Amino acid sequence: MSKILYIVGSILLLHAGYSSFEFHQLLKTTHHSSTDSGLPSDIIIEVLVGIVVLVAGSLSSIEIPNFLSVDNEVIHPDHKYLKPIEMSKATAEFEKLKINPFAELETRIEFIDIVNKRKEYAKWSGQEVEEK
Amino acid sequence: MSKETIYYGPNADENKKKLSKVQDVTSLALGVGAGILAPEPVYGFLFYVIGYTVSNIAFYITCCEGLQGRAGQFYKSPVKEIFVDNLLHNIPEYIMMWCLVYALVK
Amino acid sequence: MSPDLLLDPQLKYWVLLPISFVMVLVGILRANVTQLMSGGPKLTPFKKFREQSFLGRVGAFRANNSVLTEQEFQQRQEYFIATLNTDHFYSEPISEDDKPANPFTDPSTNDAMMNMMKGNLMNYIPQTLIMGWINYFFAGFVIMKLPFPLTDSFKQMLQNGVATPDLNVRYVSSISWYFVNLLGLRPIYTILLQDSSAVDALMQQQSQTQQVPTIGGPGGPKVDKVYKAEAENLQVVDHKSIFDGIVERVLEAN
Repeated sequence: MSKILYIVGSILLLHAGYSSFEFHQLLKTTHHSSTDSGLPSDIIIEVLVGIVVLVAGSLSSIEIPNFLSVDNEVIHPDHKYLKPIEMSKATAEFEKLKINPFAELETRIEFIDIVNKRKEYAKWSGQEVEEK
Repeated sequence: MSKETIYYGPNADENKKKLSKVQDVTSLALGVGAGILAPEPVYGFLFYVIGYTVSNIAFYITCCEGLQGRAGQFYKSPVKEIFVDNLLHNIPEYIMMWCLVYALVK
Repeated sequence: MSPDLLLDPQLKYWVLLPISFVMVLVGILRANVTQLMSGGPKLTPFKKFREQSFLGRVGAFRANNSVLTEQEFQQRQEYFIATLNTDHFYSEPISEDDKPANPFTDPSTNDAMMNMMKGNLMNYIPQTLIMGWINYFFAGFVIMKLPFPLTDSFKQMLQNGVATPDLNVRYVSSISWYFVNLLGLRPIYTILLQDSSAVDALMQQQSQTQQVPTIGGPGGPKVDKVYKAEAENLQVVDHKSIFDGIVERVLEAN
């Protein structure tokens, strides 16, 4: 989407630039002084539209794409363009994705609840046995 | 205990980068426009300031959801960061494109 | 209002555009070469790092000892003071002579100097090359008319090599287009390279405000002095545990 807007905007500006170039050439060959006659209004409009399209392209280019979480679900971001900077909200987004930027710290050996992990493991292996 | 907001740095940086990308493209596009339109010097800089502010307003409304008053969620001091901080910083880019296109078109 | 100067339109295509084009290409090339040359982050030698991190550990203990009970605190304090007074964690044996070491014999310092030199080379070589190229081929060209007027003080810089003292300052020579490019190309690099950290490094090189790498000066304090001072600090730490009178405080709160 943003690429299309960029291309359209660039083409508009390029075309306007070329038109204005030709216009100035025409003024020179017909020996008008270029200061008292402004550009034709269609070129001006074309330039303005081109700028607006380019800016719109840049705005749409920063859009955040949808995420794929660890559980293989597509997650839509809460805000379309920017990410919240408050710690609580930023971490809420990570929780949705089930990833954690601080995982390296939080899984240090001191933070692991060995007893609980063993319980979980026992439960899981027990299930496996039952299924068989 | 005073409640102070803790910020998550990477997201703040990312938002700033996005903002500056939009502003870069804006000032380049404005420079091209100014070169084509070839305004008088004073109007040229006025054109930059106005165009830049208009695009910033567009950014503020669409991206920051500023009308719902949510801009504070994305920038620590939204108005200052969006409208003021990079105004002078982006002028060289604008001038460069202005000169180039002006010289090419004339 | 002075009459307009008629500039040859060929100037645009053979001077103005090539200069911009070359500058963009050189900028990209430089970004890539810098990345190749900078290599990975340098690792601190293991012993050196151990020395520092032990000091960090002592510092953390001094700052956070209130979470320990009285007995735990005593044990740790004793251990830290005892270890600080031995040379167990020194990165190299302490020599008794007080002669300050020559900073240029230290290999780590040499590395830092080398990096600085590389950065400077990457900075100056392309700039001087381009400037020389422009001065060689396009010296004295009046290539363009600026869209805005400037004061006469810019004349010296922007009309360098143009031998017409009364020319309007709006007409500038090729070297001034080089300067305008130097200042304004950042967003082009950002869009082309898609990696603004490289661009930031590039622009930092250009603005020539390089940070000086830390070179261990000859007057730096010796490790044993630092350790002794830390041990003395530890000796006088006033321990107040958060568990002191905790029962009363909890009961009071309810």
